[in-house]
Amino acid sequence: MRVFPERPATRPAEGPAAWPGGPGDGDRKSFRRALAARLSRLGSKAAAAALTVFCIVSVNFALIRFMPGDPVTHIVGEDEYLMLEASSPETIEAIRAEYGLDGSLPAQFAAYLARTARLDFGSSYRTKGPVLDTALRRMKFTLLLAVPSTALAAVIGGALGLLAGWRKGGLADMTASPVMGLLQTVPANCLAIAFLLLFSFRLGAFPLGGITEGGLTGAEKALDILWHMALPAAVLTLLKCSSDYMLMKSVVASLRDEEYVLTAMSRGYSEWRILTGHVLKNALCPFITSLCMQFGYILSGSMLVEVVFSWPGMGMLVHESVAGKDFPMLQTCFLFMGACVVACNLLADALVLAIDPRVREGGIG
Amino acid sequence: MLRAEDVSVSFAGGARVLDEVTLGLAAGRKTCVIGETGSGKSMLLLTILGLLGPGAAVSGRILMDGLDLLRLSPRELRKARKERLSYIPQGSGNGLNPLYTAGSQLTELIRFHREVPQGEAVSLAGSLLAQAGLDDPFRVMASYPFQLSGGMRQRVLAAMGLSGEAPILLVDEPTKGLDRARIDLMAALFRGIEGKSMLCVTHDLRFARQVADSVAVLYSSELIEEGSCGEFYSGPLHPYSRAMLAALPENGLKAEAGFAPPRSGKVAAGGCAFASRCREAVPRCLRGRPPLIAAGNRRVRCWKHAPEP
Amino acid sequence: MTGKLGLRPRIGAAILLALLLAAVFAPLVSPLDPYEFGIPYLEPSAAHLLGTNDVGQDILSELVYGARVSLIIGVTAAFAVTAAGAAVGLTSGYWGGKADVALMGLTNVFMSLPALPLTVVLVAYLGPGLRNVILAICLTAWTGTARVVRSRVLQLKELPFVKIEKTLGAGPLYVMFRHLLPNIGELVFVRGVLAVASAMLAEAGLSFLGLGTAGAKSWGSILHYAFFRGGLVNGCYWWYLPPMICISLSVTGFLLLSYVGERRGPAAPAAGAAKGRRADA
Repeated sequence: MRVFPERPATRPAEGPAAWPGGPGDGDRKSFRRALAARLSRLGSKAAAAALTVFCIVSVNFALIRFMPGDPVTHIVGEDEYLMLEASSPETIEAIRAEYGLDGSLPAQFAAYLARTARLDFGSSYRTKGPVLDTALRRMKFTLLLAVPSTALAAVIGGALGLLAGWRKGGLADMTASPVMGLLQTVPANCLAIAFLLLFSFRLGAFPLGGITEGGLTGAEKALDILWHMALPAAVLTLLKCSSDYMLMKSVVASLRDEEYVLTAMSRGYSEWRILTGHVLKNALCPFITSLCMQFGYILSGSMLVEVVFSWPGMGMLVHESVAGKDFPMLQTCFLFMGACVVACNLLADALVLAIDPRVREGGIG
Repeated sequence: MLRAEDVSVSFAGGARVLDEVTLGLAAGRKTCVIGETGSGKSMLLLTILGLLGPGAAVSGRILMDGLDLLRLSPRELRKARKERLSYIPQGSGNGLNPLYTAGSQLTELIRFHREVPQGEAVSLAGSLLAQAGLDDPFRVMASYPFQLSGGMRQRVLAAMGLSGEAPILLVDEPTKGLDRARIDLMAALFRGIEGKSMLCVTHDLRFARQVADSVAVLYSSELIEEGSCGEFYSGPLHPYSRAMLAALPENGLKAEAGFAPPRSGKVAAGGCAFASRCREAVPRCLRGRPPLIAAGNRRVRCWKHAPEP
Repeated sequence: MTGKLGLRPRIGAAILLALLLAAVFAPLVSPLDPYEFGIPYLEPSAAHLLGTNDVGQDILSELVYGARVSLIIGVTAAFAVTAAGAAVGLTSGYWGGKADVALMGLTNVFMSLPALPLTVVLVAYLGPGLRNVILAICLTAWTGTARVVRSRVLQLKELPFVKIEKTLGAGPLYVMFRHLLPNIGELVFVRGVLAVASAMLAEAGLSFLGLGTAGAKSWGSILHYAFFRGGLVNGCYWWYLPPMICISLSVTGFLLLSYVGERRGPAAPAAGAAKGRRADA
């Protein structure tokens, strides 16, 4: 150990207790500074998220306003409007007043914002019930499908991509790459139809669609839902898996040549240790960012898959609402989906903040 | 201790980065490999470590304690890297993982080499960093690489390189990105290392003179001169070495006339690689590639030093 | 770029050329009028190579005419999207400062909008039709190109030849068109090719949901009818499989073509491959 004889090994008085230091390490000032940097970063991201939600709301507003025809048509529905026009035109005027459609454009916008803030999205043309309840219930079903699929796909695609990127031309690369590449070219609805045909029609192993048979309770119901979920979730997982795989593979392949990876190899560390200890953490930041950014894609994909499997989620609701020209419902669905994507982006920022010290301590980013 | 024999490295597509390099490193001695950017000197270290990747075609032998490093199984290679070789990458690059503190990377390495509890590893790490010339080792340990200066990173990497029992140090460009004063400090640090053999790659002639026992010069993937430090600096044999030394500030910054920039691509297949830039070139230099010719204790790849036929 | 294309872009180009020819010469290629009614649910035979649908229309002819709509939507949308994205990226990257902040803010907002739902809502409001579908697809699809082009421009801007031009007093437009554009040409082309693939996928999704081009046949709408009018239940594989294959095949074609940067011959080793800092990844 005595490699520098001319320099005595000095040990600081406080000894190892002063380490391992978190941010600041007992130094209050720098700790506070780091915390402030983190909060301000997160704050600016939250502001951007709020701006995005505001834009979505504005798009919704603009859609009703600038559509051809009387805006009231899009609030009560075409059939209702024609009926009211004939029977009681004063009701139409009352609705116009209620929604502030007789005021100036800014005033209308303010009224619209206020209603949106109260989560008052009006009532559906089709069901006549409040839009909010239906939308929330359907959102729940979509998340039930999308969240586990996203997580599963991230784990499977990420792990395979990690191996394939590390050993180009290795077993994982040679077997997974063609399959994943093929999956990239198949649209969600096509894969869903193929699965439906094979597993439900031909093999009869899974139900044709829906979420549960009904009349079941407790564990039986949960199992039944899982059984109904299997195919749509599998389709979503496979599709997402392929893009996660491609992403992780390219990230790891580029990290492989990084100097710290070469250095870690020069130390004689096992490949497993390098891969899990040194490469994975570095790959996670771009991976997570992209994963969360792409939550919009999984919502898009889930829309098609839901329609094929008649899964009563958001996508199915949108499909039904389009057919019924149920504009309040459509707008609310769009707002909710947008809010989900925005929330996911915020989550990505928070996670990256937790992982990467360079971003955390206000260095870069 | 370590001996490279006729080592050639080329990449798919034809780029040749090392050309029949033969170089020995004696136990306890320090050798500096000098060369300009692109001369293949960093590749030499990566070749020894077996880190060139699948695209590289390597021939020749690299002998260490009777083992040929180029013919080890992955498992044996890992063992050799762990126990015998120690690599110190450039402090200016990202040889340290950006997402871990310097301390956690150093303690991980210490605990990889000997089974000590975390607390003991931390205090060992602290003393290693202090020995490497860092004034506040525990603050450095709590820092992430991006919070450290290039010089500090270089010292952390040096401490990491010295944390194991490996008898051979392979050092890549320890002066890159540092100013003169810090290079001198770095030279003192490396000069002070005892009991280990060191192969240090550098383009800094002054640093090499301060640190090395012997010197090897690489030019365009070839070893063109090798000898003891004293002899090399007092009387370089190869025209290229002479031109380099003449251009040093202490020698009067004489940029030799006729020392043209190299032409692109490999010049004159079959001839001396330096011929196109050499003031003293004779027709023979263009016709045949000179072998490494013994000149006393030294070796040089230049026809001028060949015995008359 | 000519004559030295790798295998993958060649295959892609071949697939796309076949599709393009079928689309352009649809009246010559298609055996029958795709809108003509006949005997429904016919299995593939000599008269109807791919059988007929629920109203007796010839499916092969539907496919051939469908290629027209799918390609027109794909290519038009991709062209608009790529041009807009490249313009935003170029401006944002080159000018920097406030323009950059504003444009990238806008890009991020549009990136956060869920693409298919927005497209669906828009088409629901605007009504189906070729123009509206293209418009709706374009609205969200330009963001990726804008970001990629911007980051490339940021790199290029730091290169000596651009700096020298600026020092010599070249105007921003001159530098952008004379120096930056040629350097991002291949990147923009690749993004454009990928944009066609994703626009075609978006169109297929929209048409599948019944929101495509009203009246005109496209692959997505064939699949829509096959799915919602009992093609699946009745086991009419000749009805639902061909459009699925056509969509996947053309997407594959465009994806393969996007490897256009890949040259034939051994992969370039790149000096210092072990150090491995590739300028562009």
